[in-house]
Amino acid sequence: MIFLHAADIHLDSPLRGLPEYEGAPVEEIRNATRAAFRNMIDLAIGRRVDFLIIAGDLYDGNWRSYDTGLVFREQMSRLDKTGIPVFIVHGNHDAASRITKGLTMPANVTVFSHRKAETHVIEELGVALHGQSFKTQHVTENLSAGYPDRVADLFNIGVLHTAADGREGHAPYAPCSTAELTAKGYDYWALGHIHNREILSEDPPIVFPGNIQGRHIREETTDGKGCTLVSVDEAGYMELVHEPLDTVRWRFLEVDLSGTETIGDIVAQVFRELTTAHEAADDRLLAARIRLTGETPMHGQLLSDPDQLVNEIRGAAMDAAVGEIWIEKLIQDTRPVTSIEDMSTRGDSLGDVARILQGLPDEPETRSALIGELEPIFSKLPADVTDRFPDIRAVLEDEEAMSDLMRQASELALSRLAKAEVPE
Amino acid sequence: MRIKKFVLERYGHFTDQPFEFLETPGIHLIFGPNEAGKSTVLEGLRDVLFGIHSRSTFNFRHGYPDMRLFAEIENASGEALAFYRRKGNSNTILGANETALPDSSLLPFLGTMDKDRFCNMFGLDQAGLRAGGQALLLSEGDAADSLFGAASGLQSPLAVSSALSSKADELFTPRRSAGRRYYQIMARRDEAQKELRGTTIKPEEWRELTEEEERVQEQQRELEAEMSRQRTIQERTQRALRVRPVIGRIRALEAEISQLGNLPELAAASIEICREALDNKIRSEREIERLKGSTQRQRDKIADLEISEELVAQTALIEGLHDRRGRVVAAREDGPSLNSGMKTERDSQARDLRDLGLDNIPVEQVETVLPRRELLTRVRNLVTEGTEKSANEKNASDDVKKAERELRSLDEKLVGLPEARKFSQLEKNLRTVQRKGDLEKLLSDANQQVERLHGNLTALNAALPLWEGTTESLKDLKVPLGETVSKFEKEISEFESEIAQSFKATETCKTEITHLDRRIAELRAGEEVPTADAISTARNSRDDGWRLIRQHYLEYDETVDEDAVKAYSGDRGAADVYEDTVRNADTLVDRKEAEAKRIAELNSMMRQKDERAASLSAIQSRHTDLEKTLSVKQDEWAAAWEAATILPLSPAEMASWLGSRNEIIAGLASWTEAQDSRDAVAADHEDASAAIRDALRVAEEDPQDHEAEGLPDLLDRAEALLGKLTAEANERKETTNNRDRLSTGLVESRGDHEDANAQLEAWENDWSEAMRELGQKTSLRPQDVEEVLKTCEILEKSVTRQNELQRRSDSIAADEAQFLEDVNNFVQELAPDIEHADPVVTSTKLAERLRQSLSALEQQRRLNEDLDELEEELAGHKEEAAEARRLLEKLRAEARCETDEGLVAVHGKWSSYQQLTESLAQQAEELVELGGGMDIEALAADVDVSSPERDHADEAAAQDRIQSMQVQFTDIGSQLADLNRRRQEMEQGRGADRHAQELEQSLAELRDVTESYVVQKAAWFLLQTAIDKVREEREAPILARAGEVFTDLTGGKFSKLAVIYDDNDRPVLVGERSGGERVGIDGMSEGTRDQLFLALRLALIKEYLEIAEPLPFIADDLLVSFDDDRAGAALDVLKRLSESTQVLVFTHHGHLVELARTRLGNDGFVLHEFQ
Repeated sequence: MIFLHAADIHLDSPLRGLPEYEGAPVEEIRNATRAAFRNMIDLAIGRRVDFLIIAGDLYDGNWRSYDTGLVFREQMSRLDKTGIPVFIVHGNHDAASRITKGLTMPANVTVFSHRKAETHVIEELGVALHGQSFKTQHVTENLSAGYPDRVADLFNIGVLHTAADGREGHAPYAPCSTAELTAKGYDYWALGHIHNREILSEDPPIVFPGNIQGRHIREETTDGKGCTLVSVDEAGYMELVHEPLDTVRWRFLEVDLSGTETIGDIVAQVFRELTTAHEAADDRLLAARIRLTGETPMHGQLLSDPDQLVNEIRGAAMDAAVGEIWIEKLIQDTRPVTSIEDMSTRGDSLGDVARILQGLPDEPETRSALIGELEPIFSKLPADVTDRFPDIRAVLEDEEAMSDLMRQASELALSRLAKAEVPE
Repeated sequence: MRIKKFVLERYGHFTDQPFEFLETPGIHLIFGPNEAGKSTVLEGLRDVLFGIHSRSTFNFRHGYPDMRLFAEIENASGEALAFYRRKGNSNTILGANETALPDSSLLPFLGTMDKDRFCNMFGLDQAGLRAGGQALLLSEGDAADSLFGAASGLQSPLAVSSALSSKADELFTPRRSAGRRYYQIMARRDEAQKELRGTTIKPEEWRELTEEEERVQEQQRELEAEMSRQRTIQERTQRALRVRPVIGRIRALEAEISQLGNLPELAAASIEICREALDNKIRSEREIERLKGSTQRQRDKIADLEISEELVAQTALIEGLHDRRGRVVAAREDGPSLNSGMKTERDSQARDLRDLGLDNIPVEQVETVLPRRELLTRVRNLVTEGTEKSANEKNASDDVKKAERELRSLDEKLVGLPEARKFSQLEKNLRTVQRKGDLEKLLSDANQQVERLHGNLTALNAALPLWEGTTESLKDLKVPLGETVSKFEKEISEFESEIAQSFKATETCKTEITHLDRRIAELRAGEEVPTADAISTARNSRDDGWRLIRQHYLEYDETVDEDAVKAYSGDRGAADVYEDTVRNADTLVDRKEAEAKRIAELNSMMRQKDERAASLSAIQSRHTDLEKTLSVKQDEWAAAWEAATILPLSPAEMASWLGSRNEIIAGLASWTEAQDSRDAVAADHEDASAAIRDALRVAEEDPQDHEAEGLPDLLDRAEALLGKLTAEANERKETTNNRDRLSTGLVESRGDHEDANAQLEAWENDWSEAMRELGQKTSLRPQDVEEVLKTCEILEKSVTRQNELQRRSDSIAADEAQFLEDVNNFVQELAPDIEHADPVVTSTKLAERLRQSLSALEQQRRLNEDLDELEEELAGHKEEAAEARRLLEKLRAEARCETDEGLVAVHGKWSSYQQLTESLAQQAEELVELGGGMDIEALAADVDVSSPERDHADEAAAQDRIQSMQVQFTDIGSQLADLNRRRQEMEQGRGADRHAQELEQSLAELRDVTESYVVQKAAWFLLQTAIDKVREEREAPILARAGEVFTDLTGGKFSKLAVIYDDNDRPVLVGERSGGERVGIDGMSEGTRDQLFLALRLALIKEYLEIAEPLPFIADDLLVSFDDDRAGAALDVLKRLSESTQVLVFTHHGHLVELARTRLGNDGFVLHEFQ
């Protein structure tokens, strides 16, 4: 017996955090979740699986366009034609989705009831699947507690959308513990909701397969997003294989610029890292966030002209692989060769300015005055930006973030002030 | 730090150009005319201190590897350092003894100063001065910019701040503006949101579409049902109209068949069989008659033929006689030519007998005298042998004579050759010497090698520093191991590095303490803080007063003494006094309040100073410890060398010294080894000379004394002699060998000659015998006997031919006689009528008669065959006629008829019946086809219930109805197509996903633009804040100092500098004239602005000198644009500066030297001139 376990499709939800720029592979990035979903159906048909399990979150909750549902149904029909049954529980997003409610599915699709946990048996395979869908978005009771007892002499699978015992960045829905799930005596638990692949238990396997396509940098991966292919032999021995399905791969690259002296050196270093990451991405489009670190004499210049830096790095991405790399964000976290502390002992006017700048972060009135200067842009920012990127307001709310900003800004000011002294 | 000496050793076009700057107060004026290389000296001065620039352009004479500068410098603490500076990436500072010094060596002299800062702060030229003045004007006197901008070597704070602000403003301003990046992206975000809303497909939309589709499909189904019904009606009426005529035709055919009545059932082929039987019967009877006539005529022809059967029986014999007749005729024709041939042969034989001298023998007996064939062969062989034997005998005789001649000649040569001598020892010795090689050259090379090594060794030993002894004693010297030296080198270098770091820390600490001191002094300069007691006293005084006033003036307390009030009020009145006490108490409290902050800061500064002082003390203590440890380590280092009685240099140098020593020791070993090799070669050389001399004495014909000759001469002589003796010996040996070989050959030649003679004699005997047998004379010689032999052969051949001709003539006569007899015997028996005298004629007639008989016989055989065929044909026709009659009889019985005619009539009716039933079947088939599968009865019933007119009417009505429904059907189809198109559009989506993606992209861009803006804005804000604070902190002392310098530079025209607030509340720098009038920067002349800039710069330098190691101020033709008054004033100011630090003024203007002389006097400056 062989079956496929997937979850968190979030069909047609867009990728986040990618600023558009000239040369960015805009068209290639569209429909990434849809392409990954098609890859999954191709895999199911290609491997002739006996059935498919989707453990919740077919759609994004606030995504309304009905064509997404039609696409889902169309792919289910493909499975119907090849005789592959599908078992689905609705997750928190599906419960919130208006698409879920209006859509009828072909005969091969079984959606577990949201009223109470129920069991579906596939006689010819000797399999019993137990599951319950979310009725509303916010299900906070332990659904697994109500799951039926195992059916004797059959292979028992529990299908559940849950945050288990809590995961950072995920709402704590349908909580339960690994021990509770194990105690049910099922042979396999097909879970959904957590977007990173995670195996909570080996025996019995309790598996979060992760989502099938990363949608932002926090869903970074080196071995790809996808589903879990489970093979069970006659003796009940199980083999679990992670099958990558994604078409866009997210990577967070740290590039150490120690030893670089020119913008050319920096671009070459970034180019090397990008090339390596692109090669490792198995022909997929790479969405890369780059953090520059290390001590370099170029620190001040990079701060002074961030536009030039970002353009050079986007150019390096084009050179490394035309149309196959999108620079999501560039974080400059380098250090200057001469620190503000060193500068402040120089004994001249620049030393005086450095000394004062060094002390400003300790002055509460300067901090609040600076916040006052920055306030207008934050008050103008629409809620969808701050919702999407909550960290953006950190400088206003977090003392450490403000200190980092002040240090970076001080270094920028000093480098501009001493520009004549930058060696040629 | 000041420069004591500076030498351009190899730099630019200079070679060893020195400058010495004596330690005298005053200015150093360095004067070189135009093109003398002032810029080169200036750059060299900076390079020696901070390193030669990696892409220096002063390498046109001395290349990069050779460029070198020298300087001797001294710092404020009196430490001095002399060093070279070479160009390179590391180890560019070299000590006096050329060893590399660490970069930190210059720390005590330069502090943390780098080259760019040094040039910006301590260097100033005319262009820099003018640019600085201009910058002051551009900043419109902005106080911060003026005090801390160009004058301190920085970018204009104002300009930097403004650039940061503009950068931030390009991204965002609180007021909406389409030009800002933020708002551009916002517009895109709004657009994407709008598009997303527009392209989102709602579930209701889909539901409505589905419902509409179902409704229209239901309509379509109803319409299809009605259309089907109408089509059925149409089909039925059309069918009735089609089949009605066919049904009529079927009914007519059935009537016709019934009229034919009852007929016997006949076989299908009966009619055909009957017709064929009648035909056969008539034809056979006709043929029988014809054939009977033909057979009779044939029999008559056979009876008429004539044939002789006896002759035919003898056919083979008759044909044989005919053949023999042909041969007889031919033989008769050959007879004459045979006779003529025999006569010719007899004539020839008679001639040959005559030639042989046998005239007496008759020609018929010629065969008896012909010689035998064997004899003729033997004679021919003897002729050949005779020639061969004679030639052999002559050759053998010639060989003997030639050998005897040569032997004599060799004997004579042997007698003439010189006597043999022994030379084997010479050859042996010579080869032995040669195998040793060119001993002369080897010896010379070895001597040179010894000399060279000895020379090198002596030079190295002499060059080794710290050493006076010999190389041998150097080898035995007890020196530390290389590892020990490396260990010391590492340890001492680490100590030195630590000391340099600790020095840097000391300097930093000192700088901080100076800052703190300055701040403490400023804080202390405030007023004294009121004490608690003073405040308490003032309050008591106030309270006492109040109590008096209250009791006395308000409560009218009688107990209060008027005097007490008087005493309190004095002569001023109680209210005034009370007011004073109240004010006094408030003022004291206010002052204490105000000064408390200052005191708090003062305390904080004092505390910080104490901390710094403690750190400094700790660092200095550590520094002292380190220096002590270093000193101990250096003593240990010296001790390590005591055994060698050497006072060591630094470990690095001694490591190099040890290397040199090892080199010398190795050189000593090589030298000794070379001497040994040379001695060995000399011995070989001597032995060789002696050996050659000894051998020569033995081998020479006339032995000489060769003691005076060298080895090369001896070798040449020996080689020549050996060659000569070897050649002589070889010749003698060859001659003797030749003679022995000839002598043996002569004996053999004589034997051969005797054999040849014997063979010749035996042949002579055989020859005489053969001649006798041939009947010729024995004296006949081989060359003469050839003619006789030829004649004998011709005669023999002629006899043979003549015998053959005779045999043929006899045979012909016998054959003809036999033929006559055979012919006559045969004819007499079978045809006596044709007998003839000539058998040839008889046999010809006989053959003709036989041919006639054979021809008649062949004709008879052919006629008999034809007759047989005719009779066979006749029998066949009789059979056929009988068969036809039998068939007809059977058919008549079947048709129940008596005659053949009756039979034919019945067959005619039967045929008509067959045709009618076939037509009927065809019509029925057509009906089935037209009836669309209905059976005939049903069709007939269907037709009978209606009429053609009614069917036509029904069909037209149905057609109209169908046409009208088709229009409706098309309409529904297009509605469905439209719905389907909408369905497909929804299924494919309207691009909501794309707009969602675009929306996300614009949000990401808003994120990026916000983050960029925050950094730029913060940088602007912090810079503004910092500059303001620096200005507040440093403004007063710098203004005071710069004001003094400015007063001096302007010759007292300006009395001081001040900062005032302009109309925009902006602090600006102004100059104050001695009369109190304030002049803004824009109100100053260009020259005054330059002076102001110089004043600010010098004030900042003086500040720096107070807190850090002083550095020389270098003015490069700074005063050229100043008139003499201003230049003089500037020289005064610089002279004052030179009391604090070294001042170097470069110029190529002679008049400035003169001005200095008059203004400063000869003691006020030092002049350095260079070419």
